[in-house]
Amino acid sequence: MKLRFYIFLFFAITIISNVNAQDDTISFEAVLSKKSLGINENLRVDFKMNKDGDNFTPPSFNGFTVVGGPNQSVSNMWVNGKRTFSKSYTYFLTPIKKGPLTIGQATIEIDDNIYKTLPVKISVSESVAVSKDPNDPTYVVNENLHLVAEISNTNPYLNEGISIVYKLFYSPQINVTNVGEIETPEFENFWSQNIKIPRLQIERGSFKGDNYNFVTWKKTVLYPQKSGKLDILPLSLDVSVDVPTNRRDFFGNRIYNQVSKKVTAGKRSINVKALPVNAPESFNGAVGKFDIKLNTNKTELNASESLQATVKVSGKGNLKLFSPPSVQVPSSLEKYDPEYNEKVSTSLTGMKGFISNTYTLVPQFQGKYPVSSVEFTFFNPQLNKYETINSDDLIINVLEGPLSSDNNINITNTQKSQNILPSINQFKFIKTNSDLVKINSNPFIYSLSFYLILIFPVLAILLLFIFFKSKNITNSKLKESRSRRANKLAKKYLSDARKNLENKDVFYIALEKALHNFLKSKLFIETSDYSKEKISRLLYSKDIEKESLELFIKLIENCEFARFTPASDVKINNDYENAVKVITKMDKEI
Amino acid sequence: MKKIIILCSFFFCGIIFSQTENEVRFKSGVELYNKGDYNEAINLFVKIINNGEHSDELYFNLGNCYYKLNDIPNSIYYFEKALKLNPNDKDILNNLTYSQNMLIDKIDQLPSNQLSDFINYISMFFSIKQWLVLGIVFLYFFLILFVIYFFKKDSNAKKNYFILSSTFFCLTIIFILTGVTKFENQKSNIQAIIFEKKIDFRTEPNYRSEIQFNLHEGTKVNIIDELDDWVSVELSNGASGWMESKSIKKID
Repeated sequence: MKLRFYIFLFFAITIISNVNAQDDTISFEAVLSKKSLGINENLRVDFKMNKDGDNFTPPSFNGFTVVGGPNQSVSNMWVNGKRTFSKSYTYFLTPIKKGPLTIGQATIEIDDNIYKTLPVKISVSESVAVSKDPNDPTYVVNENLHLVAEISNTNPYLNEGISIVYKLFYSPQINVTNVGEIETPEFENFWSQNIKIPRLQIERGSFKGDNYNFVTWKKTVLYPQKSGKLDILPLSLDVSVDVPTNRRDFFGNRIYNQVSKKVTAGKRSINVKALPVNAPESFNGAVGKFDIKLNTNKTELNASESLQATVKVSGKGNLKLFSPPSVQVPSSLEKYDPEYNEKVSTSLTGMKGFISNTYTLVPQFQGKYPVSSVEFTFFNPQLNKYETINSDDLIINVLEGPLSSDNNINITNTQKSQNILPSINQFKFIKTNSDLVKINSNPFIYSLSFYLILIFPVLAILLLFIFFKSKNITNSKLKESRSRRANKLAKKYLSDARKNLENKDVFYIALEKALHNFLKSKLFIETSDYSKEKISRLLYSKDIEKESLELFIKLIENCEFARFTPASDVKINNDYENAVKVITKMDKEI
Repeated sequence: MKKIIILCSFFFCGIIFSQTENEVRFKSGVELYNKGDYNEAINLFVKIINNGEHSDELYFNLGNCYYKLNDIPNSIYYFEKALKLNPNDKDILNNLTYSQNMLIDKIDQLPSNQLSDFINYISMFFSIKQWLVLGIVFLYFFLILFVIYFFKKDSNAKKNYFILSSTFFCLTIIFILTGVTKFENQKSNIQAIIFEKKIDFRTEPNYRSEIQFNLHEGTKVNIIDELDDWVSVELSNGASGWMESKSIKKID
């Protein structure tokens, strides 16, 4: 009985196994390396099928980043005449976030049917301590693969060049097969320039005392543009590594396990020092060590020709981050906008080379033009201080041309007769003779002598006038009194004459005296210059009627005649009446 | 008494000696200039000034020396001083133009009205002293003619003398007034030369105020006002502002 049962069992198994083998069912499934993992661990997902298919579509790995894969592997096995086929797509995933995650369905088309895997739930927990198992490939990778950022100076000055070099160290035990950049740091607040690495080269070096191979992955020169603490975001690389296992293959060679690993260089921060505050005025942000040169392509030329002046700053430092200082030239030199030129090569030690500005200058007038030296200040981070350097002074000699715009018209006019032109506008030689005078601190104007000179003659003349005036007044007074007395005398003598009408001699003497005194009072003549001619002339000039004038002269003649000739009473009477008549008439007229 | 005489004679000898000394200095300064030793020439010329003597030629020579040494502000300063003593010298004006061509600043002239231009042009003919002296000479002429007029009996001659004397009187007034106004103008119009390479032209006399623009050495400015270490100046284009007084030198 027992035997029968075994026989039945045998048959049953063979039948079942036969059925199984004959059915040849298609399977397509997702196989995970683990169902729960730490956030710092990698997950391996294999999509396995036992029959070859087409149009494999992986699920969207939401919540994961694909760090490796897809790797395809196909295996065909013949065991006891039976073929076992297996094909798998392998992905390496790293979770991005914690919590339950789901790996969705992958699809594949096999024999015109579409097969799907089941969604798989995974829980992602806190990062777990890396196992120290030396046989665990992840551990081996962790221990033997390092990405290091080497910063030349973590405490630079603003605008001082620093370099950052990323080196991937790996120990000789493992082999790096592939490196890909996941995250490229953006250097915010830095001026950065990558230095190209033409070919990755494996070098030997030591890391924490052990011998390592390393590859320089990236070199960047940075110029901080802001002071304070600046962060450099980490660089992340995805590295595929072959890790040796303890197993050996058929030929005795070690079997390598491929592990994908994300390495980051870690966040670095740089403390940027601000430049000292006592910056000279001509400082324009240059940091480094520089030299300045100013030169022109000619120093002698004619007006309205052109020359080129070049300001060149050469040296080491943040050359591309400032512009050369500008040249100052006299306003009568026409200056055009400069042409910028640079030749800067960037190496790990920073920028090196020169920048220059070339100005085109056109002098307008003849003469000497100083191009004042260009002052340039930079901060020398080595000496921690500002340095100011000056270029040489330059003099441009303009040999021929107009002297100034005012003379322009003259020049163009005289240009026709060219012989005159040069001698007019030469710079004149100094004067060889001079009449030196005392420097008069007090101006002549408003000085005492000025007033004296101005007023003295006026006063003198005024005094003179006053003197003359007073003299005139006394003169006229004298005259007046004299004429009054004469008038009185004339009247007195006239009355005397009337009393002596009978006495001829006395009458005529009195009459003559009366006439004389009358003339004296009226015409201011003295008795001495008493002649008929003079009297007649004087009276004539006084506009006296001819009739009375003649009568007056006749009377005087009569007086003279009477002294020597006898005269009748009638004549005496007549003469007296005439005298009275003439005197009253002339008295009115004068 | 004897002592006083000796002292006096010493004093006069001193005066005569110093004068000749200055003339010798002037001559040797000219020779040094001709040899190209401008610094020594300047030393000698400055010694003459320190000795209390000057002339427009002396200032002109100093300006020339500084021009040769490319010292723009000093050369313009001395040319301007020379022009003050002798406003119409062609040589001074010519060489001043050379110096002014070296200036960095270019300041446009404000258009001025023709009347003031004309008056300026007229007043440039003579210096203040010359105007005044001429005015005084005319005053004397006027007085003499007036006296003659006064004592002349002949009415015809009197008329002529009156016209002549009144003409001279007018001339006197015009000349003396021109001299006085010129003096007043100069007194209120102090000019100065910038001696610093580059100075800030500010809106107020302090460092907090806004910088309007920069001026460079050699530019001539008119001083309007002064406050502590600051001067208010006006440029020939009408712009005005404040600058530190240590960076300018007055032309007096």
